[in-house]
Amino acid sequence: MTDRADVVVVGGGPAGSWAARSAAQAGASVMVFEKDREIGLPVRCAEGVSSRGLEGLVTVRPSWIAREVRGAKLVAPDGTVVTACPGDTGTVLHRKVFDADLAAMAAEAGAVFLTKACVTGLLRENGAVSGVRVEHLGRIFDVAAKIVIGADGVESAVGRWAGLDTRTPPEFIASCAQATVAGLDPDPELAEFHFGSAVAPGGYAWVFPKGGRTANVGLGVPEAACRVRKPVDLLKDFLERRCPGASVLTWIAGGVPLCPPRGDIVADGLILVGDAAHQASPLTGGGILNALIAGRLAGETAAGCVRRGDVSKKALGAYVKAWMKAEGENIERDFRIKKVVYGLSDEELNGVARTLSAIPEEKRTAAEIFKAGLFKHPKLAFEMFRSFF
Amino acid sequence: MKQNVRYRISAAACDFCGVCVAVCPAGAIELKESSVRVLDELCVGCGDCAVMCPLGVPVREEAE
Repeated sequence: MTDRADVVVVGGGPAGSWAARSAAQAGASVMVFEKDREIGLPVRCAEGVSSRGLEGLVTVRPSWIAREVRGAKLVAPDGTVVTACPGDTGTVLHRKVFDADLAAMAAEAGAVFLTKACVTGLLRENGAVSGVRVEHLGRIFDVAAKIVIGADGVESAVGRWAGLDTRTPPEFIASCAQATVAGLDPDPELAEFHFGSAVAPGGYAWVFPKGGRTANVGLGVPEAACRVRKPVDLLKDFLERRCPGASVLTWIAGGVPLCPPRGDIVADGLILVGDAAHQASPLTGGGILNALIAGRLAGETAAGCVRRGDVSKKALGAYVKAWMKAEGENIERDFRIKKVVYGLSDEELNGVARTLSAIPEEKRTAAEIFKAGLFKHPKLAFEMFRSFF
Repeated sequence: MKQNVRYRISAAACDFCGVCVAVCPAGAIELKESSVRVLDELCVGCGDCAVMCPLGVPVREEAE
């Protein structure tokens, strides 16, 4: 392993691998350091994505797909069930396989990966980031880089080391717990979203089917709920209620940044991407597709800046501009809707569900749901209106 | 650090998910693949780690 590369990527998740791949494809020499021993593990994710969204970004391999769902089932606090099939199917991924394949695709393009390699600090030269310090199997060594891409997740240290304020304050993060369960009866066919103060106060619980009577069952809640009851305890209650007797194959904890769009994600010689750059949707918490979009933009920008010999914050700003152009408005909109939806009382949520269930299922398109909301729930409708028009 | 207040994170109970690191205003939590510790000299004693941890692992300790 050499001690220098054009681009060093910290973190081998989807954002890191996709940034590495596009930088390597554009001609840069790339190294990726992953702190865990295996790419793709542990799976700290509910694994659901829009099928169409994924297909638009990468050639989907069948081995990535645990199960496709044709729609969603929304469950209100009083048990009212509304099914919605918006026309797009959802894909529940095998993240372990997906992440490993993205890394292999990046390696195929020329990126060099090293796992169980923990980046413990940044190298600096005249104030600019100029490399990383790596701890690997008890050995500590430095790797010089023209650009460091921090794809080190919600717990990102890379940005903070570079002087960016990457803290995710409690009001901008959902605290989550998830179990992968087996023995569900019947095998769930739709993605489920459960709302209400008894299940997930100020957030939601999910059941994402993985096929063969297994599913990811989890929930995420905000600070106020965490002060009363821990997500892991809320999840135990939900499992007891939703799938009593089912076996738990995996427990996992995690956090999802739910932030307004942020632009301070570059510094001299440094780019942040994925959860480290708070790029997940603040409404759903979904971050995989945005990680791929931003990863590609980051890798392309990095390779171009290396080629032109200008890795200043100003030059890397092209990445920020491209990211904002691609997703800035969506994130802004999701952030506004989030504030309304997760602020609804149980009564208001029940009211929304009753309104929606009065619309015939085949007519439950986004437009009809919107019209119903507009009529019955002015607070929600007002925000949605501002969001979409 | 606030006087006489410290936070402890038990590696045995921790899932290493990084929520505490994400919310810490002081960069006082060091997380590796399977180790975690609070750097007392940086900790400001705010307790955000304990509030937001999905598992409730960080605990407050008050010295005499």
